[in-house]
Amino acid sequence: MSIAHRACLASVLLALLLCSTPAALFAQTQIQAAEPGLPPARDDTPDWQTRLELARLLTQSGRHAESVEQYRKVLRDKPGEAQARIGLARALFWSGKPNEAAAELAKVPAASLTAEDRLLQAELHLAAGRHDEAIAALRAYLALRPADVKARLKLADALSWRKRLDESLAEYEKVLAAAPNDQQVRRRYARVLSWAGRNDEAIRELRKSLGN
Amino acid sequence: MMRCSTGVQKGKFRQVATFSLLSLAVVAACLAAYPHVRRGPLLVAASERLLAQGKESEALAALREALRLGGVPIGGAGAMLEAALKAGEASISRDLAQLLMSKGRSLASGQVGRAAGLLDGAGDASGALELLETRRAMGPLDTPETLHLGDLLRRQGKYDAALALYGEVLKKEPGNTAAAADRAETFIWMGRHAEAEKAAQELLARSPGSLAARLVLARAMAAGGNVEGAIAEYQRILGENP
Repeated sequence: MSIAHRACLASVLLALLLCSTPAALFAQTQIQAAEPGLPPARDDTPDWQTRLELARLLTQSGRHAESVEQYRKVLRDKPGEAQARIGLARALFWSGKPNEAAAELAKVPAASLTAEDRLLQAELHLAAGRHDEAIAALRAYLALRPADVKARLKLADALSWRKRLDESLAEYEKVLAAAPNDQQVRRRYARVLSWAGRNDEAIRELRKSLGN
Repeated sequence: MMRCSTGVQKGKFRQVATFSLLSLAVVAACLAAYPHVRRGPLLVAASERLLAQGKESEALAALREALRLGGVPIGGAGAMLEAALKAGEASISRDLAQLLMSKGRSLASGQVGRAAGLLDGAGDASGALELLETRRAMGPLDTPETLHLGDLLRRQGKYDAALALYGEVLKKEPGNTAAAADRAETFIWMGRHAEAEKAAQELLARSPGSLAARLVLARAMAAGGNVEGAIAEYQRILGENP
């Protein structure tokens, strides 16, 4: 392949990348506040339990600063209460404090994290550029939710940024198997193929994405 | 003549020797097979011995194996159940309680309730429900177990059955705030938020100091969409919004 040819391919890939990347890269996964089953109400229900319910309700109504305060009070009484720490991490995340949120989530034992918590953890690592940690969290999440194509795409992207190209391509192929008509994904797949030096395949995939 | 008598003697000796050998073989086979054929009861006996020696975890391991093999005698099962309950062994407690009840042995409501609590805590709500229902079929449950059964039923979506149980408790103990709170909360689970709020308000009017009533009221408000009212109620409970 001539230098001009390569430059042309690179510029096409760059243009496509700029068109396709922002939405997919920076789109935040919608995080729903989970509502676990509440224990029966009793006259001797401890304060921390009531406060935990209040903190959840404050998060749901968007009063994140107050929610953070209540979660912190719960954790002062019950430092090992995983649900409170996860709730605090979510409230901090929604308050625009991703690093503090990540620090709180890191304190939660892995066994207490739900699939959604792991996804939040991955999002926080991605936002902070901690790609290796994000990859580990996404893999843990996908082990529980293998059909989540959006998360798999994030994993494919993160792997490509760490130059783990074969692993990244394998994930892109799984995404494309689930969504063969997604041209944006195909272009990103083509981009990673070109990074791997598989330019002929990259061109073929780009042509496919353009409907040729 | 002499030769004939010697031959008869030899024959008899051979018979006795063969018989003795066969007898020995049968005894040896019985001895060898006994621990395998009666493995369950032997494990139970070993478990009882270990328990008496204070080796609780080894005793429970032997008992677990005995239960797996089946054929456990119920003689010492009551004591074993108590040991399993103390050790927090949910599945052994369930198996022993079911074993005893299947043989018609009457168990205290609280004892079955503890086993059901362990099962529920271990995530086996269906097992807990089955255990309490089996016990209930043998005689009335005490109030804490009735309320636990009601909770298990409503968690399975059997709201009417749960409400009937709460009604039974309230008939016997009209002032039982836990049963009244559970009844009100079941209306929330059924999507009947206004009814839940009304029931909680009524309970609060009867028992103004009831935290359970306030908590259900806050939950009913939140479920009904009155989030600000619910937050205020929670804050009132916590003394942050007098």
